[in-house]
Amino acid sequence: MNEAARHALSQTNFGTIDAVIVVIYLLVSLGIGLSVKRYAGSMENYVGAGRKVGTWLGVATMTGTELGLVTVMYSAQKGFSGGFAAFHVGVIAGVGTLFVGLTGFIVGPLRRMEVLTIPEFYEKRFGRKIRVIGALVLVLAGVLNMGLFLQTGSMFIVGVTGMASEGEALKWVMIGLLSLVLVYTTLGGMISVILTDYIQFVVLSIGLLSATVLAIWQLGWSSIVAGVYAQLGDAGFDPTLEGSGFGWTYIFWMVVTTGFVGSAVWPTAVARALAMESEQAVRRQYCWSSLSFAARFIIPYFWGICALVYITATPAGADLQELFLSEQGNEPALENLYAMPVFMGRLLPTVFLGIVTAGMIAAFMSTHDSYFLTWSSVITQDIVAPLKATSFSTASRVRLTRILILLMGGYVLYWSLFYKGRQDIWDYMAVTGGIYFTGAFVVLMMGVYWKRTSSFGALLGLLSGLLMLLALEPVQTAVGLRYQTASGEWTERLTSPQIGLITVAVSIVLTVIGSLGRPDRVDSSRIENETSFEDLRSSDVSQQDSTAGETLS
Amino acid sequence: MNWELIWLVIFFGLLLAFGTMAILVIINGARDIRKLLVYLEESDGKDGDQPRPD
Repeated sequence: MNEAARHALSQTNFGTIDAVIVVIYLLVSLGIGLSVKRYAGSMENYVGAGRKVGTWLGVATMTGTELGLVTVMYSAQKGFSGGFAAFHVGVIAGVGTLFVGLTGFIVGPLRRMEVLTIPEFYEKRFGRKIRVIGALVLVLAGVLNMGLFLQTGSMFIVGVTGMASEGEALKWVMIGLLSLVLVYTTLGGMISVILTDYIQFVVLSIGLLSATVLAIWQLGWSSIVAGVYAQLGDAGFDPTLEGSGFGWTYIFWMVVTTGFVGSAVWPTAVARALAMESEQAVRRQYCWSSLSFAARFIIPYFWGICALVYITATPAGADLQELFLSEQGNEPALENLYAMPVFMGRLLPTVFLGIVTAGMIAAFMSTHDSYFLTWSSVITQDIVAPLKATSFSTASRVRLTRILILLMGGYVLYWSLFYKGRQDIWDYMAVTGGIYFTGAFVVLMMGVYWKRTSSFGALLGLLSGLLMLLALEPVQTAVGLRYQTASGEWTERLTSPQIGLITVAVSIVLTVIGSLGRPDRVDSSRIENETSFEDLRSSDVSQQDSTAGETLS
Repeated sequence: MNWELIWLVIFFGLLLAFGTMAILVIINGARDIRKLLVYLEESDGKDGDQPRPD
């Protein structure tokens, strides 16, 4: 990092009062998380908070989980490069989540079956083998997916506080935040996660709204619009234009990913739904959360847009232009991921900056704790427990889950420190997540709504998600999907959205062919499954309260 | 199509709706937490370290 970049990054309003606000927030979160440790004795309490989460608390925890700092960062990056046109993704996310809430699409039947994880559904519907295979694919994709969360989130902290100008700061921020999350997640489980999610929701929502209002106040709405027109033209507003970096293929891909997968299939969101006290509470939770699902994209997009306007159209941000905007095809000196936090650090006054920073740390923590808990409980419940020949006590399950959380913490730190991938954050996440969700979306949807779906069809559907590996940049280059033209430019024969849509189509076709070609044999267990199928399609949602301490599967 | 107007309406509508929802969640979520803690308090000690079939 050169001296100009170091100087530009050190310019921030973040001061001692802001640091005190952040520390107080962290101590309160940690204290609450640890205070409920004694309730985490049973696996149902540890993983599902006793299935007694009410609607409003459910909305808070859903928002806290899905509005992560990594989402804020990559969304701001998208707003920075795509302008207002990026808003369509947030609209699709909100409408998709509302659709799930109104219809109970996938999550309603899952809650009715009283499963705690998606692979548990696979077992009830398709048998134990599919449960284990589905869980393996899920964990592989999920753990890879969260690999860059820590680094990206920490980039916000060091960017907004001015610490980015110090070489080693990023590493120490990553270690500190990770340690904090590991302590309360390991000890308190889902109860701790849900209670801290509530606190995090309070701080996060205040931070999001206050920063947005201040940004509009300082820059002015008409100046923001004019700034986007000056930099991006019509492409900064119209997402259907191919030149906008989006286009119709991208929009369709977003309908699948953020519209349905993000709310109805992604395990951390589904885990929240399955911890709710009733199916009606799940539906209400989704209807209200549709606002959060839209806001989690649109507000950060707007912050990225404001950063772009601040840097390109205001005298105060002029020194940042050469750092963030490339000239004559050269690489910019700084990743544009830093643009939004640096802008925030300069725009927001002290105290407000402390609240916003605490809110963003809240977003960071609430996502990490949920992801750690979800993936580790899937390994315990859906891989180890079904494969274990002997009985598996509650205490052993909780102990194993805690050990796995710590191991995942180690992996995330390692990945953040040493992974040197070149693709941008959103591409990395879409590809790694797609390995799981392209297959799981089809298998879940068809498993719930098409009676003839067989275990062999489900197996083919799940494994077809591996086609998403073709969207990884190194793999694309290796197989010739991405090549260099004579003029030296890199071109893709198939973009990531195109590969994603093809993978979903292949998964549907293979699931249908596999199910029709090799239907499940009708035996006693199958008859039980048929009963389950009728049960899960039942529209009667009036008696959903589950009993405390019931067995898990 | 006037995209600028569309995004303006959606953006400010969302800010208003999200702000309203945040207030409702903060108030009613605290009540849900009380209910959850009462349930956990009552069930505390009932769950033993029993082996589970799988």
